[in-house]
Amino acid sequence: MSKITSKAQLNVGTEIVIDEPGRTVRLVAAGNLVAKDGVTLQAVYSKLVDLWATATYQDSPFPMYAIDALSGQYAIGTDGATYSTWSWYDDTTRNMLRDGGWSEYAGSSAITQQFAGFIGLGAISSGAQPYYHLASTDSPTNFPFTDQFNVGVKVYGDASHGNFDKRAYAKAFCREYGKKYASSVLADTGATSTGANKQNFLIANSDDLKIQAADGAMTGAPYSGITVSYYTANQVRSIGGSNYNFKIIIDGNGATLEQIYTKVQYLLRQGTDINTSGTAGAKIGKIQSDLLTFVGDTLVTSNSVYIDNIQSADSNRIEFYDDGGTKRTNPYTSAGTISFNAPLVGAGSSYRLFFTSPPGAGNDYGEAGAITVNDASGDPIAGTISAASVAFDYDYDGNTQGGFTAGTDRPVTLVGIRPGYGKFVAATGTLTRSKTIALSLVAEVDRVYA
Amino acid sequence: MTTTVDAANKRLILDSASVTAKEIFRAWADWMLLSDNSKHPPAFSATGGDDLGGGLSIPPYYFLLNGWRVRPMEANHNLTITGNLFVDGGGVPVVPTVGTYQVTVNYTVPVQAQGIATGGSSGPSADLISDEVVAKLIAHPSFLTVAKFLGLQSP
Repeated sequence: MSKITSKAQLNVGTEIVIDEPGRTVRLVAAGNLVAKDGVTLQAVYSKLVDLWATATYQDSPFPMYAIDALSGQYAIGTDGATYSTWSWYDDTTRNMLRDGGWSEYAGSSAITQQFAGFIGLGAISSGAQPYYHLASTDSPTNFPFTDQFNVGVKVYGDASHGNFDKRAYAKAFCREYGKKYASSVLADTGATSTGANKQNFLIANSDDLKIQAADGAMTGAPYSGITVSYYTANQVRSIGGSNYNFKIIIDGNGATLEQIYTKVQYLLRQGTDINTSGTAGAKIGKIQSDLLTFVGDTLVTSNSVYIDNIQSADSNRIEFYDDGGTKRTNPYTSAGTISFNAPLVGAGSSYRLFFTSPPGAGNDYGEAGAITVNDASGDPIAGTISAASVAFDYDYDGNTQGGFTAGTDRPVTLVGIRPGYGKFVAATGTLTRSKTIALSLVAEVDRVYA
Repeated sequence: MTTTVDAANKRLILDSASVTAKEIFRAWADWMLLSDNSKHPPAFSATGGDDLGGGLSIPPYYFLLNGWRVRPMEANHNLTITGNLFVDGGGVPVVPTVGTYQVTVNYTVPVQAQGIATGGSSGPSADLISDEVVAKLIAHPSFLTVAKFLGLQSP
């Protein structure tokens, strides 16, 4: 079956039931009508017109009024001139109406309820459950059916029908595991209010190849330590030596950007408070705005979103947008690994990276003023050789140790020793603008120390 | 025994009259682990120690590099350095004291080509080996002549 668009497919007593004494119009999921597929308001209206062209129904006031089919503006309980007490039989009937919104009257010109026809444009994955809310702080409500939505959503009710008016805001979402998230807010459509008319939302999703793990993995490392905190006051973060303001701080827990993204997307599907330690109060995950997006392999944050504790190798494939909406990027941080052969690895070992020949005198490697290379955090690249491979980073754009000009390649000398196990060894290399710098030390077995 | 490392002057300064090459090497290697001492050019290269099986190993040879030298303690004494201590490329491993002292340096270098693991039976001494060689030569005299060298006469 599919959406009924023709009055000819509506048969009285099967798909549509007219109760003149009760003055209700009822749609029944039978015959040609499938509840999820529904029937257009125009088809219903046309059917009623045909019925009221017969003597059978002419003793009752006409139930509906069509203001404009193209914009989907309808009303029930009025014929455009007079008001009656005709109404839809129930919400099941209302949920089967497509391609329009409507106002409901109850014997007077006062609107008792108003439904906006929320229509999702675009393709979403089969079985997806889109949802919406009518105020930025409201809890989300699922649309009555899965897959792309096209249904009336109550946006106004008088004192007898909920007593609310939420026509000033609407946002629709589609967030499914393994799919890119889609959301559309009323303002995106160029409208400033909803009402008894069609309201289109551009909602489409597609496979998200950046998702790294299933939901079940979110309680384990590293995902369990990846959190989001929303703050009311700006949080200052330093990027490239300058401070910028952010109000949403993600703790990346040292995970890859893809893992961070995976966890954040997971959080944005939760119907619970995801604000871990921020001051901005409860934040229900599934109604929060998107925080992260991948553009190719570059992770781009939404405005005012910053990520702490990312891997050094990832520092230059992330773009932050500060609280003012300005893009901020990290200075280039080179990264690499130092590899050691087995004799050098273990307690009692030592390695250290020196600039081979900095500008000036007396500071070359081998001279008393030799300079140990600092990593991106300003700490010396040196220590005990605890593993066969040790990762390091280096502030390529910012390091001026020894009088070097920032942003230039640096010849370096790496030394290592482990008395009794690995003889002293030195090797040279170059720190370049790269994330995959490889330095290695291969020492002879030390058989002459013990 | 303590060896002081004077990196600025590239000196390994002794404080006793008897020391092994290994002890000097170890003092330097331990010092290299500290702080950023590894910024200084290495004082040693070393070879040997390879296991030959049967409890034997190649004796270690220690070569001073990059201008590093051993300096005796500041006193009149006879300094004995045991082990294969050389200067890479040739030279004298020991330099004079700073003060005016009379120091005689004795290098005690093992003559065997193989180190012998300690424990178990010991190998012959140098004197025993020397005596045995002399005895064999006396018992089986064999003199090399020009004719023998040129192959004109059988040995």
